[in-house]
Amino acid sequence: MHKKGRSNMNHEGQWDAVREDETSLYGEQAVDEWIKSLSHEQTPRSPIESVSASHADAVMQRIYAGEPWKAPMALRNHTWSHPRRLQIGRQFGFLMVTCVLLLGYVLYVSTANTPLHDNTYGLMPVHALGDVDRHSFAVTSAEVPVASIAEPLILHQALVEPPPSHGVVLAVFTFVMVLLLCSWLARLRA
Amino acid sequence: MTDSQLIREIKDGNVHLYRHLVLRYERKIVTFIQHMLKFVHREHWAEDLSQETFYKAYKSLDTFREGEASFATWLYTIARNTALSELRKRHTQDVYWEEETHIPVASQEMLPEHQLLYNEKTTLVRTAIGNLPEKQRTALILREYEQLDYVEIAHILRTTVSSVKSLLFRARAGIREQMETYVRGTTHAQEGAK
Repeated sequence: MHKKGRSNMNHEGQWDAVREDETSLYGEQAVDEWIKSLSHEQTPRSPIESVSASHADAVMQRIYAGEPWKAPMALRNHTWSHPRRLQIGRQFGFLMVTCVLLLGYVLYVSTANTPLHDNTYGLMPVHALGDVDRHSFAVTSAEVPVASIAEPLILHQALVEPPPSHGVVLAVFTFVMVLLLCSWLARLRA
Repeated sequence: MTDSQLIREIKDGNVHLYRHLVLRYERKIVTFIQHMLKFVHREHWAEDLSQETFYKAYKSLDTFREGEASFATWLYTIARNTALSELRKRHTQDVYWEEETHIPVASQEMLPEHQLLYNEKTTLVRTAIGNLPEKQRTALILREYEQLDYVEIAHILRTTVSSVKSLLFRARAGIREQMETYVRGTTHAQEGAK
């Protein structure tokens, strides 16, 4: 009986101790500590460690999707797949060949239809004023002014229209095209 | 490069530098949003919402005035607004204060009874924080978990420093009250069982 009473007292004492512990656990300081302890708690559903550079990349991609002109050059090229790049390359090459052929044809036609010694315009060489056998000069009958000491070199002369320099135009065009092609190729990554 | 230098460069057109700012603050912002959403058990939205936060921040970078607040404080403000509008948009009534399902992770070295006690207390504190009004809860998160000072919290919550102090006081008191109610309840139940 005595033992039982003592045991009951012991139980009560232990229970009081537990209650005291709990009171201290939920006290002002303890609450603050518990609030703080939650900050160190792991979140298994979405660990913060999983946040990586891909997160930043995703943000940047979203920005560039809205404003594609602000994307860096390297990134812009990467948006094309390899087959797409090959296709663009082929199309560009085809365009270049077509342009060169077309220009060549235009050059050929324009030079073929133009007589080499068209004396209608421009200064006429003196030797061309002679007749075929070059025995006499047709100076008196020709209506082409000639240079003399008394008169200035060019008199009432029609406007001189030199034939267009297709070669120069073609060279400049090719140069520009090659520059564009080189710049485009330089932007492609291996 | 400092934040100000980076922002100046970005405003001048070097948009790619914004990536550095994102890398610098993404962890803080994700953690903050996780803390905000933890109490409604939607912390898995944190990463998406932090992306949204950084995108919104970029879009309104021209409105950022350096003298008023730091870039970090400004980001926290956007993150808070983004999280709140998302909760509002997704009809908070079906995500708010649902039954606690998350089991806190305790240390492996703890005794089973200590582990049980730890889990119980953690759940209790989390529920108590979750039951606080939004402003009190955000102030508490910013102060306790993000270690911000009163001025910064006041900027984020668009209020005064004294108001922040009052919010924090009420938040702590609220948590204590809820926990005391719980202790009294369990004590009475145990005494009744005895």
